Amino acid sequence: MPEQSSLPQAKIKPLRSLSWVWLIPFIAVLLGGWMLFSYSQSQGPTVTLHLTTAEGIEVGKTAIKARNVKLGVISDIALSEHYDAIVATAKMTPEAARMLSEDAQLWVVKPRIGTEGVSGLDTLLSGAYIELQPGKSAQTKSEFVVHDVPPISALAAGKRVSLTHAEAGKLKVGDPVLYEGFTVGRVEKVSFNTEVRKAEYGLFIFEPYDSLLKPESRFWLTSGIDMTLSSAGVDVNIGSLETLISGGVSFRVPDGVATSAHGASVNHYPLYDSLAQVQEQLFEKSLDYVMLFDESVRGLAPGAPVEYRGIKIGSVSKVPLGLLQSEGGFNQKQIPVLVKIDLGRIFDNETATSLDALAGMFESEFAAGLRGTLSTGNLLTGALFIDISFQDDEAYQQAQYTGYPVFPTTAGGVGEIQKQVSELVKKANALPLDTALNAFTRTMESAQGAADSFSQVAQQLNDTLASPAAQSLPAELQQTLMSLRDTLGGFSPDSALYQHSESTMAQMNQATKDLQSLLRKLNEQPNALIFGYSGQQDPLPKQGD
Amino acid sequence: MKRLLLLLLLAILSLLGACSSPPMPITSYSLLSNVAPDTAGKMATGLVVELPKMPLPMAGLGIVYQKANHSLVEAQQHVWEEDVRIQFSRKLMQELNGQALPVEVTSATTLRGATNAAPRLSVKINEFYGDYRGKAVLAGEWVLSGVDKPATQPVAFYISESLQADGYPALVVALSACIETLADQIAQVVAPLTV
Repeated sequence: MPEQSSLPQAKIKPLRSLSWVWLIPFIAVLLGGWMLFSYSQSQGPTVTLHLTTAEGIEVGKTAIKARNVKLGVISDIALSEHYDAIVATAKMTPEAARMLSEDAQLWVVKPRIGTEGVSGLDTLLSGAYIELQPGKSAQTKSEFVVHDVPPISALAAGKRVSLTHAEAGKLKVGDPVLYEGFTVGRVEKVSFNTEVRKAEYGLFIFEPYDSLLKPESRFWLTSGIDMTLSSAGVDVNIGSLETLISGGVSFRVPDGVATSAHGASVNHYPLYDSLAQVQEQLFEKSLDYVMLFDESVRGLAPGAPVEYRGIKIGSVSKVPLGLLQSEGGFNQKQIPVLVKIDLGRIFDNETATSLDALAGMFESEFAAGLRGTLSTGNLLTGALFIDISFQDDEAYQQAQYTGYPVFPTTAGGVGEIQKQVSELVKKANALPLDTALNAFTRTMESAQGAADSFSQVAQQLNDTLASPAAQSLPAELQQTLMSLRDTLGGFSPDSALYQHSESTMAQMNQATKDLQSLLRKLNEQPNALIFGYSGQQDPLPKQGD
Repeated sequence: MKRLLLLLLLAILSLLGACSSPPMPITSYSLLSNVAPDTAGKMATGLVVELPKMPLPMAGLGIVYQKANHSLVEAQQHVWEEDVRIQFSRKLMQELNGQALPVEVTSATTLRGATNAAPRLSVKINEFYGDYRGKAVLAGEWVLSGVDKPATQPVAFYISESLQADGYPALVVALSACIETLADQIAQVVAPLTV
């Protein structure tokens, strides 16, 4: 048994406190920490967006851009709590953080075809994106409402005004606001005020055109085609092509209205149906009268003019003004018509003259014989207007009708038309038909004379042709023909020219045949030009029996 | 550089040329007449031979050979020296002039023939080839038309001559003999008419 001491003894070394192996996980932890840190540093803020629809919006794909620079991407889309909107979450880049101010605007950019043209065509291929218009406020927020259409105010500076009209649907969002036919703004908002039961249209007027707005400005609808049928005839106005399609609203300070020097402090304006209506409404002070007519008022429409010797001094307000009074029934034959005499149409300086003075003036004129008559303004349309003129033989009695003073009238209208027609017939009768017939006969006679002289000329021509000089013509003609024949003889088959051309033709013929044979060979063997024709040997004719 | 390219091109072409088959010799033939024209005492240009009408394979460059019943071959190495139609009409004119006709015969292709008011001999050829049975065939019809007279009834003909030996020269000889036979036949019909 060998000695124990002869066995090799294991050296005992004290264990080092930490193995180098632990360095690897340590580095890994360090790296991981650094990655986490850099990831957190690269993350921008997260914003919540409210949209009406998620059409065209895709998670991870739809970008948020400002001036075509990508600032973030949609990371989540969900329906809102009450299913009435889309709530999208967007991860923004760190640089975008300071853009997300309180007054920042966002809207969806997708292909749009509208009255103002085609936009967002590039998104057809790339898909829709959300445009961010950074705000100026220092305050930031993280929840935004994304508009479906670009908010007009986001694109330009300007001024907002609102218009009221009794009817909704007169304007649409995006309709142009025109000043003398030039687009200076857009309709931004359309709403209906239920309290006053009027439609409200929000307009945005771009800078610098907002300075055109005055407190006296009037807004009226610019429809594509404005057609009015009145006693003045048919009036057709056609606007620009855009307004033809979409309509629009125009504004202007009406003619004859002094503009105040100070800028517009008014933000609410009424909206008129047409420029004509604007002009009608210009005259603020007016006198109301009732005219009682014996004849039919068919063709007399509200707005029909009241004219004094061709000058419009007022208009018809209401036809008829309450048909019958209870006591009269149908026995009361007169039809009441309410008219309005505008002070401003009679006097230049409207403000200086009072209505009472005008009423007093009319009263004295009534006594002098001023009467209203129904007249035909337009025979074609049958539209009537009220003509005011002086009639001598009328007695005047001041009267009232349902609270309005009565404007005395006299019969006219239909009787007048009859008179006109009878005058027309008279004129037709008086037409000098006899004279015309006589003149016609004379014309025919002179035509006969012309024909006679024509036949004389023909006779003279005959004589000329019969003269010896004319007879010698055929001989000359014959000579010409002979020389022509000589010339043509040069081209006869016996001539050298013909022979030469014939031999040329024969050569051409031969060349064509050669070419034909060549083509056939080439057809058989397309490379025959280079490699030579390797066609078969011709068959050998055999000896006959 | 350009010269080098040219040399290279020539080399390629010569190489390509080496691929091509050895050239086949082309032999051309003429329909000659060895008849002396006998025009003495004859009426000048009493008959004009027009250019014959011939269908395409026969009017081509090569001599036509019938390999089988329904197969005509135009020879590529055995061709006519001149347009076969011109040769035919000349040969026929010469042969007719050698006959005992009272009138001198001219061809439409000669100087005097074209404008002459003499009667015209029109030949329409349907067959003019050597066939696989060792015969030369000439078939068709001819018609005599005067300037002021109506045309005669067309006369059909079919003439065949046996080849005396193998090969194209013998075929050309046989074809010439066919034309001579045709001239004989025409002369027999025409002679009494032209008196």
